[in-house]
Amino acid sequence: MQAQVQRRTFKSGMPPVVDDDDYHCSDAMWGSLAGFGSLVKGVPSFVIPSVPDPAAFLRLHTDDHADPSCKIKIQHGTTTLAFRFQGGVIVAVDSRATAGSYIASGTVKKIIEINPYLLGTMAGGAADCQYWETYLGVHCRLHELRNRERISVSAASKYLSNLVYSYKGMGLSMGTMICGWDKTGPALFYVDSDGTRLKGNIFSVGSGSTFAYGVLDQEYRWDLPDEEAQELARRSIYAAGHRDAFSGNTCNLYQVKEDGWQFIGNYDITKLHYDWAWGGSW
Amino acid sequence: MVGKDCVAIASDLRLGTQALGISSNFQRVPVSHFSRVCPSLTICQVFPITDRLYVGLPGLGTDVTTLYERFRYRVNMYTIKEEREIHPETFTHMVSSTLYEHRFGPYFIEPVVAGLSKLPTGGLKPFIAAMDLIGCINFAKDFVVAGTASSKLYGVAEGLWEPDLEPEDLFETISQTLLNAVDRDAFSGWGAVVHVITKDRVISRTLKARMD
Amino acid sequence: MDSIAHPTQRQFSPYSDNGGTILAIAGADFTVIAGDTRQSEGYSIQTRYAPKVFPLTDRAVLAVNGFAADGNMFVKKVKQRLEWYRHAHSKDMPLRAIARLIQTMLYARRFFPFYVYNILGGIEEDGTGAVYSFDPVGSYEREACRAAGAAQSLVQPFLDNQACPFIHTSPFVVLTVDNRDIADLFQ
Repeated sequence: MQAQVQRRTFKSGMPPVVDDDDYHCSDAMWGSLAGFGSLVKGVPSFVIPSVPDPAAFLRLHTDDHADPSCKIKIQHGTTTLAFRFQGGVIVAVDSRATAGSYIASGTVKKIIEINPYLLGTMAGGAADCQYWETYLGVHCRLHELRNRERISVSAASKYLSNLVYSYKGMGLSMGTMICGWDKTGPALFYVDSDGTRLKGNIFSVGSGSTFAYGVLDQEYRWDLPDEEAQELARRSIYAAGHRDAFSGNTCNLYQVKEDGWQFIGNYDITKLHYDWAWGGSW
Repeated sequence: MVGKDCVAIASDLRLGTQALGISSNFQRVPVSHFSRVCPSLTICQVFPITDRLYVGLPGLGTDVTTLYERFRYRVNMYTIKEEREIHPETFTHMVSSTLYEHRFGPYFIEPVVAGLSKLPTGGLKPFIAAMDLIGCINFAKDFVVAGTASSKLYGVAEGLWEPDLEPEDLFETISQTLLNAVDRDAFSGWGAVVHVITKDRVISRTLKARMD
Repeated sequence: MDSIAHPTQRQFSPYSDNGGTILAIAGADFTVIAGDTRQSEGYSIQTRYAPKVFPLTDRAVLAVNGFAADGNMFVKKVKQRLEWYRHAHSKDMPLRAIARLIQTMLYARRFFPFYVYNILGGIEEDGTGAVYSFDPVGSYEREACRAAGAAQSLVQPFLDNQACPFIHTSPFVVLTVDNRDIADLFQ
């Protein structure tokens, strides 16, 4: 077996991998387009290790569930939720990132602002969600320029779904909700790296999702007033943050309305605990 | 942690099975600690053994209860036989040998002992010790740590601790160490308790901690 | 006597952990960024002077930790891209742009990652101090302080306590107090 590293096309049907020299000398590399510059040519290129099964190679070195002692630790653990209701879409997430038992960060932004009308949530691989949802934002803008109208949430989510599906089996890990407002009104789609794409009213994703669903399903109604819907989202994220060791720190809350998304606030989950359960303040 | 004529022992209050938090009861409470070896219920408790001697038992929940009851029994028998209170040093060796009796099928507990030991002159000397799960004793002069957050505790303690702290300063130091360490550990937290043992009183305080 | 020939299995293991720790703290109009200079493999020290912190521009410094070979190569490539940017635009790349550049450079190796934890420190265009931290495949965030590497779990909670209190941690409040005199306990 070759133990040398080289860039090569993965296999037929997989996304193209641009030749080494071409990649490093393309005009975009000279400009300010960062790595996204090359997307005029289509999907960005990735370096693939020269081994018979690149996905197994990646799993061997990065998967911390199979092997806790592996070197490259990818951050896991999350609670995210979104629901459609009378006033639009409510999106709420926690802000904790864990690597094993270590809390790597308590200030992660798990709601990605794709553009003023679209939000994406982050569960699974942080880098996968950040990168591909940013990439999705670029393509939504190109759609606007080409078609003189905003992309529908359905089309945007399908773009993302098809994109990650083309990498199926390569080790991407994403569980995301694409939330927005288009001609059809408030819209919510669940997209994951297996290729699943679902339209729905209520979704919760992540290790703490069962706790969030418990609260959410109990109190949810279509005609909830805005204030009560926001409180329900906070309450659900709190429930997950409290019980699930891999969720917590703070809750980020957004609402999507006809004129785009609005940031409602950032709430300390422990403060919520003492406000509600203890009647005292933090 | 050792101070000037005093010692302090502290613990969080979480009991959980891996990611799921189960209980956050007060004082002498199960506090959760995740056991890498055995994926079941894990906790930590701080128990008074004598008036000036406490033991903390972080690890597998069922072993915390079992071991505490074994120690209680052996300490009571010792007290009756010897007609005097057990010394922290003696107790530590008792804990150690109890653990080593199970060398090849150990209790999943890493005990921490803190107390004031009597000198022949009649004075009191701070004493702390920690053990691994088969009873290797670490007699430290400054501080000892154990549990899932041990590396985090080491980092903060190394930065905050200094020699000859008065009881109130020692309380602040051990509290800040514990809170800041458990706030970076997914399996610890849900409340905290601190005992400061001095010549003539034990000050026990529960702290407000993050609940997520 | 030779025993029966067994099938041999080979594995492609291009990674190693060279230890070390890096950290950065952002202030209002400054940033502190530091790293040790020991490079080790297992229990052996390879060298006692191998810097992990590299100036990129007048307002940006990059610290790299993990696999030294990947780290050094990565810094080299970042510097090259920044030089190209200077040639094309006659100015240094702003800090937030360097952060995004690093993300895309790391993510280009999503399926064959650089085993490198990056911390980028510097001054933003608006003059504020900033720290950006990255995971090996490019997820990043602007933060107040960050430690990475072998002693990450020792340093980070201390930094939380001393450099940026209350972002992650509990405020110091005593809920209940129980003073028990030893004399009272004696009967």
